[in-house]
Amino acid sequence: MENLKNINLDISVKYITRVEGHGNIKVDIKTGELKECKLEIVEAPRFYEAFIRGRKWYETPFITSRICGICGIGHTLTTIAAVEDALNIKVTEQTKLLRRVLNNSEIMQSHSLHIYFLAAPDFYKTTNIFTMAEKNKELALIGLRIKKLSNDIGDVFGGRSIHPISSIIGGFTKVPEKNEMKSLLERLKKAEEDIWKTVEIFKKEVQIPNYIRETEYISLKHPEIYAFNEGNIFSSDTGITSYKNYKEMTNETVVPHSTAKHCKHNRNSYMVGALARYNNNYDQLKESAKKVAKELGLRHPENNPYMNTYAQLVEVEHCRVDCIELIEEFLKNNLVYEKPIEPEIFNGDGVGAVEVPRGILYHHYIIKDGIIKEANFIIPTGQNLANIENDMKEFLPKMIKENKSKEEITLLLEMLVRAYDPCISCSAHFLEVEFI
Amino acid sequence: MKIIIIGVGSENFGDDYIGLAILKKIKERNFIKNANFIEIDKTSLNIIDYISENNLILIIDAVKMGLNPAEFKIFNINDLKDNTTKNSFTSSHQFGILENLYLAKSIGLKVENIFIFGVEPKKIFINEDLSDELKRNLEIYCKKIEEFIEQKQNHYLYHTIL
Repeated sequence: MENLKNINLDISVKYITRVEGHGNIKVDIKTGELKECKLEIVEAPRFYEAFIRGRKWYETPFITSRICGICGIGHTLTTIAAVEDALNIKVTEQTKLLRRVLNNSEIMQSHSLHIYFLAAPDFYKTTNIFTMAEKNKELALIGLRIKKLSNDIGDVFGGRSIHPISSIIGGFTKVPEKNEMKSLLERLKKAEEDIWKTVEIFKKEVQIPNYIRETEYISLKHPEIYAFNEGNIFSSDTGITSYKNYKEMTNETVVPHSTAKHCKHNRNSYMVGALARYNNNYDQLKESAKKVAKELGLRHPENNPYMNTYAQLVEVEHCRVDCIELIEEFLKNNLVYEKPIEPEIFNGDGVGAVEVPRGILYHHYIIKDGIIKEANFIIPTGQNLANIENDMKEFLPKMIKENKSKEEITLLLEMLVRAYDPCISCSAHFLEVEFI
Repeated sequence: MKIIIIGVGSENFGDDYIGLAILKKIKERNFIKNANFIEIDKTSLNIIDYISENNLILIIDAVKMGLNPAEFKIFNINDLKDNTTKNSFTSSHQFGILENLYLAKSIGLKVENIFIFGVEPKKIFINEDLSDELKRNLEIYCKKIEEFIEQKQNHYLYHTIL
């Protein structure tokens, strides 16, 4: 910051708005020297890893689902994957496909909440959805329709729209009725208009800040499909490794200004989430999703973190088409109720790695005699925190050089945090301590 | 006119359960015919789906209004000081009933036929049952709601016939 030696800047945003949970931005530049640039996480930890110890193996998904009201399906599916891994349960192909629809519904639901309700007000320079809706009513209505459709898919395939109950370890307790699927199919097809209308509005009315920083992108990767529910871990720097090696990929560390731990891998930070998946698995996107990306001006790879919101819209389109194809297959081949597969062993050590809206979610359990002895959860937002701070540190001098006012810089930093769509409550963990 | 009665609340969360408790009681009493009864304990955003010009919506919920515990009030969002639209909500978890109604208003939906039956809570704690004061009044709340719905139905019929 040589040429910024006369600059003094003090920014303190208490409770960044339109994110899930509580976080603060602190920036302090004194005579050109960056003294402080932090994303503080001040959310209280909730000790899920501690109180799941002692519970029975089959209770786990219903407990972890409660970690988040937005990503309840993601936590359910990740717990199920981890317990099935530990107890060597191999589920049927039908179960895998039903889970794919369920996860698609959550990706659509969470992304639409972020795109239309949390991020879009920034695009219209308004403070919230209420004032934004006055400026673009259509966009708010589209958001509501897509969110409702996604919740209804979750309801039909998971037994209820939030915190699913029919998806359990070993399979499903019920399968959807044909008429329910037909009705969803019709609405999913109709939603194409809403996606393209959104693309049209964004192209015409939205200017995404143009700040580029290349980073390491980490996501799941699957040989055949755009990976959400299963796959191994892929780093854009170091390639593929087994999902079992999640600790080597995340390297959690405690930092003093955050109740959520920070992560790093090949560099001092990495990114997970829609943009990371888009960059790592672009070739496996549905063609119409690639078309959405092209129309929105997403490059490949895309290194502008503000573009994460657009990558989310690309994924909404991908999931919409994937749901249509899967439901058509279910209707053609007739879903049948399959009794959930029960474990034959009750001891094991298992990892679940599932792509949830904000990135890879890891759950790890050690089970003895059917009881959870140890649990470890690594949440996507925690994995992104160090990368957000590194973006802030890199973009700040550029913003200052562009003669942005303090208010403009503050807004751009808030928008940056929001672009990552952080779910702070989920990421706030307990700190591990050892007493002498 | 379609009547939709929505009970909002969480079980095992003290007086926050009141919306669902009243709804359950109203269904048992069976005085209100041809109404849709809806329980909401999770996503409140779905309320918007029920808003239509021809629907009378009554939302039953625990509301902090500065009254004595167990007292109640029926109101419309137009009766409230509109602070929500001026401020950002700080978290997606803070998008509650009022925010939904203000959003409905922002996108031009008619909110005049949406009413809230608010009951002043005494205690909202996890793993707690309804407080005795609220429990004792369950029948009274139901009667008031039944009277209110009847009055609205008569008003609607009178204006439709005229």
